[in-house]
Amino acid sequence: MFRKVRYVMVIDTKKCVGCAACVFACKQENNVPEGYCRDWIEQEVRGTFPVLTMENRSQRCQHCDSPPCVYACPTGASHVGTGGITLVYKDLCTGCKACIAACPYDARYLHPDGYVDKCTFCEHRVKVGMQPACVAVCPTNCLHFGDVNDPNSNVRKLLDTRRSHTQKSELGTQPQLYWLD
Amino acid sequence: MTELTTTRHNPLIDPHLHIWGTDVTIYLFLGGMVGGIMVLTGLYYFVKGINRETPSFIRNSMLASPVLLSIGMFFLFLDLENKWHVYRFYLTFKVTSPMSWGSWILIFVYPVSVAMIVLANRGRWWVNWYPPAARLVEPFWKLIAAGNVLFGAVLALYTGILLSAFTARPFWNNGVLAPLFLISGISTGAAFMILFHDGSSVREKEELGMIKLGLITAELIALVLYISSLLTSVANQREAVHLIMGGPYTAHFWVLVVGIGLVVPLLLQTLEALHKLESRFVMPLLVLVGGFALRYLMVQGGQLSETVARLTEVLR
Amino acid sequence: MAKKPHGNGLSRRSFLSLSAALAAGTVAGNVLRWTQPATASASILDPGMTATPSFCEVCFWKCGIDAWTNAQGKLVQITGHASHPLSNGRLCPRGTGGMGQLYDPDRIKQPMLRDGDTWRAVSWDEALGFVAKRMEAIKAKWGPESVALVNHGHGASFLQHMMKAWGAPVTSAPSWAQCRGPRDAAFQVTYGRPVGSPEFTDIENARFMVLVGSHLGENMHNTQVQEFARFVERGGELAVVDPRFSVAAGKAKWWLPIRPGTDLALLLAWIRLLVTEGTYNKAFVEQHCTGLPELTAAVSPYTPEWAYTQTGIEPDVIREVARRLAMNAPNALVHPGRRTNWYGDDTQRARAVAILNALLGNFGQRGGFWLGHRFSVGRYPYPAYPKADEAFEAKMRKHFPLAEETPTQYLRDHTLAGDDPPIKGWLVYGTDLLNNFPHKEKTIEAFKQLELLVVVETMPIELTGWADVVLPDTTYLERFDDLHTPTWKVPYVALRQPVVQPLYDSKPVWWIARELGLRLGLQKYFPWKNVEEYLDTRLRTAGLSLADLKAKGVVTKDAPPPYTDRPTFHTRSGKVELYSHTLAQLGFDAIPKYTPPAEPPPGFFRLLIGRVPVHSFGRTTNNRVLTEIMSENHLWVNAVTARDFGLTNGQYVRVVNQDGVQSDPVKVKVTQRIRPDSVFLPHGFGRQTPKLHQAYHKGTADNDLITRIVVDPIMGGTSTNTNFVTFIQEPRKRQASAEDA
Repeated sequence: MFRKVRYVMVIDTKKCVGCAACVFACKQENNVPEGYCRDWIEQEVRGTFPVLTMENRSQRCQHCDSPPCVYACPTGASHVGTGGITLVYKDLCTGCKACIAACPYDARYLHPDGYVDKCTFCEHRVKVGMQPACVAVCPTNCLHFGDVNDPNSNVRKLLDTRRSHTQKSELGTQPQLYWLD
Repeated sequence: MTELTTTRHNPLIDPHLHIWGTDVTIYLFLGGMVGGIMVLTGLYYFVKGINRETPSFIRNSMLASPVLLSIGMFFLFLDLENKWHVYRFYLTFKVTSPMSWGSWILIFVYPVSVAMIVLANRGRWWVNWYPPAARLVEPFWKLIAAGNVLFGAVLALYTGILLSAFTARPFWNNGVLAPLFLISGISTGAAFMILFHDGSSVREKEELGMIKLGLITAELIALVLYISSLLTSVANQREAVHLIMGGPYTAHFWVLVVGIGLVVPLLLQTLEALHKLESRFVMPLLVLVGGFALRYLMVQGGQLSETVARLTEVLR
Repeated sequence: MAKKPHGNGLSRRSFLSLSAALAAGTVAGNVLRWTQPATASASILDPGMTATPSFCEVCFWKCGIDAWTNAQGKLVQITGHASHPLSNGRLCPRGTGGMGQLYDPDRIKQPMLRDGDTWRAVSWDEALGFVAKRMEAIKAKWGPESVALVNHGHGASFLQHMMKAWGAPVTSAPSWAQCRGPRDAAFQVTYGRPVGSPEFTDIENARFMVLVGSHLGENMHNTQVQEFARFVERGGELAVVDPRFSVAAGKAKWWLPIRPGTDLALLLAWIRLLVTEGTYNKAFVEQHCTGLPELTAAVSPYTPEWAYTQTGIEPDVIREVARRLAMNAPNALVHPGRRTNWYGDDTQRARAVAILNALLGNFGQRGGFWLGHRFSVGRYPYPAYPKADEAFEAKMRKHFPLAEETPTQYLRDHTLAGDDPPIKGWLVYGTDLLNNFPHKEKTIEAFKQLELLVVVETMPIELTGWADVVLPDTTYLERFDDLHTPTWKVPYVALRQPVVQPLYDSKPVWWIARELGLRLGLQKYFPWKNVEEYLDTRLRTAGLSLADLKAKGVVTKDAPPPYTDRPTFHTRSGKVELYSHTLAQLGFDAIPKYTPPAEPPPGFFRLLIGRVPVHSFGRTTNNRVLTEIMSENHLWVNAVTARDFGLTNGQYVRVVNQDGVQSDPVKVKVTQRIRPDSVFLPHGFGRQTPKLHQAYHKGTADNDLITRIVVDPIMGGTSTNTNFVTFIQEPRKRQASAEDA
């Protein structure tokens, strides 16, 4: 009866230019320390001159439905919050780094304050109805965020009308970043 | 040709994972070794019974076990980034987390091994100083022995499962890793016990020598199975094997782990079994070096393997 | 316990205590890795966060921003202002990183006065007094027209006003001859108006677009990238003409990896296809254009097969793109580009672009060129400016008849030669003169001829080392500037206002201009006491107030769609001049003619330059926020070329150009993304002054390698793509350069 909220991101790499505005916006909003990032840009070019293709990707934690990081955490610091967002309780984290080893996407890092940190889908903003900082800043509007279980959400509509794929799906983590084909 | 660039350069993550170093390697080595000592000691009692005097090298190794384990746990503690929160391990149990299993196993190992120490050292002045202790353990010797075999095996096995549960790291994610660590743990445990041999209990020592022969052979077989299971698995695991077949850990693996850690001790042990030579220190030390080198290879290689596999696949 | 020493001389006790100490030390190192108190967050949701609306100046696009200061007053975030038509709530990486400019520790902190070979930090009064005194001395001896203003940036408007009031007409900005000049001159003679900034291109509504060189996406002009993304999303088809596989090329259906310097051949071939096959927009051309017969005759030799021999682009591809352009016209666009000073014949190349667009009939149409609106705000009621001496401009126009602005190198050469009318002083604002136009050694010599060199700057760039006076401007985040009322699809007026108080002893440029003006006796041109009075006066003419703008940041007006079927052209004929009478009368080709580019010497590669998305050239290479992602430039080298020269990805190499000038060590990017005959280097790196701690000696400066230039005779542009480099394998030790102060 109650529809559970499930936050996902749908990303249109056809539009992404790899400018890294999302990287800077995230760093500022979440006070990510210098030298670290929660999201990053990958640029992949395939082929041989002059027959080439390019894909630009804005990557971050995939907030998996079967999150290996949560399974691996011995203290319960890594947990799944509302809407399926994977989060870390800083005060439970011992810094054992099992979750970092468990993540196939290398999305986590060790914060200099001694706990493991990563993208939180800007949960503090989402809770009050705002978009994550990366989604809000993106000049190409290639990042879409919302509740996939809401039939009226932009992400639901995109996923219903366009083909998409996920990364490393063979590992069974059920990542929730959908990349439009 | 594929060109892949990334803006990410997170410390300890890039260019490849290096979150765990010698601290964890030392712990895995000591944990496996102590597990091995417990297994062998428990088995000794099942085979030989309670009525003989326990050989000194078995008694002393067992005595050293909690100390060694504590040293290992201390290095594990050093690896934590937030040491203040270490007690958090013991406020919960996470059934999906091998690390949670391990933290609790380590707790239970202590009373089990202490009971075995009392059992093995009954008759010594410091056990007799508290007479009820000896009287308490003797009737339960079978249970204690079984408990040591069980917990020792679990301790050694879990150090392997800890790594093999990470599907993200192709070099680790393999079913043979846990049995490999168990066999290696028992083997290093036996080596450690031989080091303590002081000339007495020759027959037990020889028997232990024969067991060692079997263990080294078993470990070699386990390594063959490990490599072949990687080679017959999915692409990223096939790529991961390159780490030890032409990659940065090739020499480390073939010279330290296989050569010095297994083949040479096998030869020495065979010669000793044929009474051709006597080796008190050399063979066990080589085995210990090999055991440490194996765990070092696993810890480092596994962290490198995801990047190696991913880039090889992408740059294909 | 034995106390005999061991064999190695250590007693057991000392050995034990030594190892205990070592162990304790290593353990202590680990143990000390405990938690520290968590650092404060900087979310816009945090209590005490205040957003101040303003507009950005990390580049020259001027997007509306919200600058967020925390409870302690520190600027911690910059986001796009939601209602500003250029940002639409979004922002590029450079603008997002603007606080790196504000808090740059290398900023000039106080006015500096040269004292022989040393510098003195002085008060503003002394510094401004010195400048005024020197300016008056020059005026007395040669006239005010002997002081030139060399400037770039929105803040310059107050200095321009001051100089005009004083009677100094000579101004220059590198953005003419070293950037937009060629295409603006070309559009001026063709359509009667320049392209301008922001460009009036309707990218998002185009069904087919051709980019010649323009690397949108690495060129991060916010709105243009937003429109480009919408263009892609709506299924617009793209052809990109570029020797390099840019990000834009990565989104193109056709990437034409053209031989550098042959773009005009391709454009002429397209023009020829449209006119000979009759697929041009007949209605538009008949109604609005002149010169079609001359054009048809002039382009007849430029067949696709001929173009293939010049450009290396297959004839079929050339035909296909022309077909697509014609098919989609008038919703088809050949983008005029922005920085177009490439080979020295650039006005003619831009003319070909203008003509091609005219054949598509896209002027005033969706997907072509929109005709926007301006938010009308009255000027401040100043008295009329004095009549200024026009001799310099007249002389300049003799050299470059269609130069709307003075080419910077022309001013430099004139100053250096001591030509008449004499230029004896330069007032420089916000432009990195030793790195943004060629032959800096000549520029330095020109400086030595000056009686006065004043540099108004925020950063201690190399140029400041040659000044007599350095005046620290505030960054755009610490000051008011004049209103921004550009021509755009939607008319708007935007305010720049301080987000934080000026740091150090820096002063906003309006104040510098005013204080200087007062000391020069220009009281009646600075009747307002402070800039807020000035701004409020202006805004009230439009029914607004400064208080409104301070709160809102930008005010827009509704406007009809910026398209028309009845465009007007302010050319002499009143029509689009396919055949340019203006050019013919000045002795230039009335219709562009192609000449092949110079060939590189054997073993040399053409040096191409361009942008990266996280930087705005030299303005940001010291910005510690942005340099976290990119701190040095890379030299793109084709994989085959790299193999031939034994270069590996990531190694450092020096290059030397055809004139023997060597670069600094630069990292090599071995890639398939560039032609084997070319190399690519992002502009703005390779700083030579250690005062820029972050940027010093990071990468190499392309400007120093641009020693062979071809000057466009029509408008004075200097080429950038006319130099060739080869690789030096062993980097020699970096020598201390004269500017290392």
